[in-house]
Amino acid sequence: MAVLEGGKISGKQFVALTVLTRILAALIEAPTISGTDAGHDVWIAVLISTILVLPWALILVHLAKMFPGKTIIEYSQDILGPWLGRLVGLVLIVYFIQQSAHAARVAADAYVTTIMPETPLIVFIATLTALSANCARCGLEVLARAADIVFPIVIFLLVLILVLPFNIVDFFNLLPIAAYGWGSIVEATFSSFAIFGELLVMTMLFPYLDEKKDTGRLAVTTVLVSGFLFTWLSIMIALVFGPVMESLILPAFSLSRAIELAFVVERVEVIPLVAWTLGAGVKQTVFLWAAMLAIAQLFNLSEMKSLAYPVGALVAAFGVWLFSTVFDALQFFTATEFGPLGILVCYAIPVVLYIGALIRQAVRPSRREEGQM
Amino acid sequence: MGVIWGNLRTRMEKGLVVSLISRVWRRLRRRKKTPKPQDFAGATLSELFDFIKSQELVPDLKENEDRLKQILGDSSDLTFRHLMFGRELKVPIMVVHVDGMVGSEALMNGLIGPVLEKGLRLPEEKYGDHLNRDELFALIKQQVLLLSSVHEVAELEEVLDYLVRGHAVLLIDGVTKALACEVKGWSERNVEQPTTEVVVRGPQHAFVENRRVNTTLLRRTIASPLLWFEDFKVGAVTNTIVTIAYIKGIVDDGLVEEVRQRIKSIEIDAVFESGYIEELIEDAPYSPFPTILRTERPDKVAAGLLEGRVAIIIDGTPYVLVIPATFATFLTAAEDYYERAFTGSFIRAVRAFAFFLALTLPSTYVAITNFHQELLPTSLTLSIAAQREGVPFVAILEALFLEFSFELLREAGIRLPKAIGPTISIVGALILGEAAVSAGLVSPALVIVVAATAIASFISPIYSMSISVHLLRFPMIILAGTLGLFGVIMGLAAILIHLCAVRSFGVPYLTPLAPMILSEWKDTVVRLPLWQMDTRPKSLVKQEYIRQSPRQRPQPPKQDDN
Repeated sequence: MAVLEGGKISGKQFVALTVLTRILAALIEAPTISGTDAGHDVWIAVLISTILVLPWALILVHLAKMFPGKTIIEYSQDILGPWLGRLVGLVLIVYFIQQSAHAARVAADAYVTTIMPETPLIVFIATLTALSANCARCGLEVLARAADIVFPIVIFLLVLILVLPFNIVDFFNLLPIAAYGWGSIVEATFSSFAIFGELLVMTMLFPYLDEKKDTGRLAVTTVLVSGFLFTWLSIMIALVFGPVMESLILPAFSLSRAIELAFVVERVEVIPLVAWTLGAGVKQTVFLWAAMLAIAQLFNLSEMKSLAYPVGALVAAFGVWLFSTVFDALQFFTATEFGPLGILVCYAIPVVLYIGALIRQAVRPSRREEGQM
Repeated sequence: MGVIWGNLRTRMEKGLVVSLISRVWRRLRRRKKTPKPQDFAGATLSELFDFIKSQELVPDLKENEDRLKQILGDSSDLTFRHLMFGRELKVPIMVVHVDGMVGSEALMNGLIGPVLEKGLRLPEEKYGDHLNRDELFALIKQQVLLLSSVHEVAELEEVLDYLVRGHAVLLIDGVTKALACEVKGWSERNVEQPTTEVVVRGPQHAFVENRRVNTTLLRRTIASPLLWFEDFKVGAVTNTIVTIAYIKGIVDDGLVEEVRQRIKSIEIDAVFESGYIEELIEDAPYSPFPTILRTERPDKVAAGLLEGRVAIIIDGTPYVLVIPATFATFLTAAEDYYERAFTGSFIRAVRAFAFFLALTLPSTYVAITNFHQELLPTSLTLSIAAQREGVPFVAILEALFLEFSFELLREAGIRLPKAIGPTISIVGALILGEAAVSAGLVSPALVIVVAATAIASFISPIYSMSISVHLLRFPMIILAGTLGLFGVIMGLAAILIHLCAVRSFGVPYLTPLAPMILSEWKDTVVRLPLWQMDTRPKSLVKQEYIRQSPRQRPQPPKQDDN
């Protein structure tokens, strides 16, 4: 069979890609986890979910090591048999497309709510999707190289937003801890956990790493770096806005708007704008690429390039149709909305696959050697 | 008596008889094969090429002359000189050359003079009047000609090739071979200062149109036997000689082979400039960015060769191609290495910033004044709004108009005769700039923006990169005018994706930024001191990675404290 994706990515590129995939959530969703009422305690939820995610990430890594060179689409068929495995693949494809559309929609909504209220949403979604499809069409290597360039820029901008408001922080805003009760923190943790599930895309990237040994280290780095940025951002927003933060739609944007230093550094709203546009672009492209690869693998296609524009069109349509308002998009993964479903897809499926793989291994000890051949 | 008889017999056997028979035989054979000379009426190019290929040299001088005249169309610059060799022998000799392409001194002192002189001084008693023509040919070739480069040619096609390249061709009656003697000497531009890549400190010579001079300049820079040259002929009509140069042992052999293949696969009628070769071998023909570096500086080419690159020297142009070329190559000037490291690093940062500025400044201006006035500090917004008060156009039209008039000025400035040049700058700067503002057609802020952009765009040391930026500015302005800041970001992202997808001879265009190769940042993002640049670029060199011995930091000698 023809090679669907010939590219290889380095460990650095892997981390850049996966962390960038999370930037959008970091800037727009995570800092307040809107829809829950944890208030200024959100950072606790983010921290807890980061720790909770680690074992799951290691399971993903272990699965990749048990089935070297195979994506989750391929080994789910090995573990669960062709029919059940294909069903899982189908679910994952829908999830990837949804995530891609989600990224486009959130970025587009962010533009509409902040600086361009009169432009129709579809303009942003279509432009973003056209670019993403074009990039995904060029293959993983091009995407990884783009991430190599974008990553330092976005991290620099992010740190800028995180450091510059130092003169307007109020540390008492963090007190009292658990002001709204631990129940709301658990709820927020659940939501944050569901958002973290987007790292499932790692299972599509693992086979294309050129250094196989450090897979675990890379996955843990990704989780920790993104968790750290999330926590820092939610703490910063709590420090600056305190009790007001719950009412913010785009906290990072408000944070940058609050920056004013010595009449020199002001009006820096462009910074989060650039950061989340780039982040959204990378996330959308990664998931679009993953969806393309998954479709090609599931249906035994001989190449995946021609899928870019059709799947892209699907993503754009999803982006318009999936949510009715900006709040819908932002609260997609709360416990009362699609959070449980997200957890089912991102966490239950890999865990079931892992258990299945372990059982298979126990029953047939030669299975592992076979897989490594 | 016996000696004479024996001598005569040998000569009879070997010389006269054999040569006579063979001559007659060959002539008969040829007569059959040779197509009848025509006047070439209505002949196509390929028919003519076939005809030339089918022609061969014949023993008879007159016939050779006729054929040459026929094929060259009796061109006015074709010169035939008939000589008689020997006082008694009287062997007819013909010297053909293209007038103007040979040095008359070399022709006289090296070729015609010695031949005639030798003929007069030839001891006739030794040879009698039966000097074998083939022996005479060898004699002239080996002992008579006072020239360093003489080629023996047997085909008429080769004779023609040498003729049009400025050789004088010597033909002897009765011999079906010729001697192509290098007596080139046409007037040519001297090695001068570079005109497009000027440096303050550094070598002040540039390549010229002559390929041989250019290879000499390279040899003088790199005096190593491992600097290898390979010649190719490209262009069915122009027969331009294309030379590739590389340093054996440093260069990746796969790269050289790739260059060879790409040059060999060119089938074109003419090559006038390196641009012809560039367009026919580049990786990304639809890219607005150049993926092959062209330079007129020998030191730059030499530096590239030492990094494991391949140079392509094309006869007839002072611009030499260097491949592979990455994005960073185009933001690098030779002088970065000649001045001290801090200067070099700073200038590079300035260049990278200028590139970005040239690409985004007008579009950002359009985006902000059209859509996002709230992003500016209040006082600046008010000031710009006041300036735009009377301007009748929207910002995008205003920007496009001014950018376009700048392009007009630039092009006119290049093409105009030097004497009228100042007029254009006066008209451009005063009338267009000043008057457009006072007439209220454009706002002064935009004039500043366009001027700053123009200066920034010319900061790239390589002109072809400046042009790319010029081109990309227009779509960027249109994007900014329609989608605002989002459009600017999308435009930049599209350019970024394109840059990530492009390769130059296997090397990703954005190396070493993406893929990130930190060890190469020492010579791209910054320019570290020379004693820290111990390695060659990993992306280019496969085997000879180490460039110099490490730990060469100069230090003052340790002194005892008294």
